[in-house]
Amino acid sequence: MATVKRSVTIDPEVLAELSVERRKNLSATVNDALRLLAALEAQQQLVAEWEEEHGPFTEEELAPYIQAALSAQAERAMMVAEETVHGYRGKA
Amino acid sequence: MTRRGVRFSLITADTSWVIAAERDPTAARRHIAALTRVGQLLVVSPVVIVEARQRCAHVGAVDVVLARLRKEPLTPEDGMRASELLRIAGQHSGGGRAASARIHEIGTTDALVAAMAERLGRIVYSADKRHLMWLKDAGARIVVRSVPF
Repeated sequence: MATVKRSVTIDPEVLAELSVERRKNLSATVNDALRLLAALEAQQQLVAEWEEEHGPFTEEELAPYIQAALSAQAERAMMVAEETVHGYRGKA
Repeated sequence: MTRRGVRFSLITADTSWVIAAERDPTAARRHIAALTRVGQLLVVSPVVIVEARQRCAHVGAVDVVLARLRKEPLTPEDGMRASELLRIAGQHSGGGRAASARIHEIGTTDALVAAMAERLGRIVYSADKRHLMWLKDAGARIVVRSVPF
């Protein structure tokens, strides 16, 4: 795979939050992160294309899907919080 | 993951979601638009691609759906976890022949979807969530949501 070299500036706080493995291979980490951003932008672009073809989605038609997505996010947050508490209690 | 203060997460879908999307592309577009609004990036696993292409009415139509979704590779660890979840789901059904039947009914694909979801953003969308709920009962740390397709 062809690669290009770029000089980047990284927030040290972000760097400190990374695992040792991630910091060891920073190029791979940056590539992974950029792939995700590119995928997110591709999904946004897809929606923009549909809206250009068929008109913008209305709040009304998106409402049940947004509701499902937000309730899933809330349930996941609860799940993670519970695991954190149990993990903390387990260590204590 | 944060993008200049905007949070987004990876979520996934099972085969039933892809089949439903093939049957009702308008609903699928609405769903993806809604996910985009709330910062959820939809990814599909290779096993879902295989199963969806086998089960769909028109391969061409499902390929149109799949072509625009991000593909996420599975890992050997996903395989180990899927195996463990299937084993526990089988035990929950009573063991013996019932366990084999339950494992067969859930299938490898949904077990791998659950394992991958645990590794990513934990959220799985499904048009038929029975199998995933059995896997959740077996200990999969996932959130299963059905979509009104």
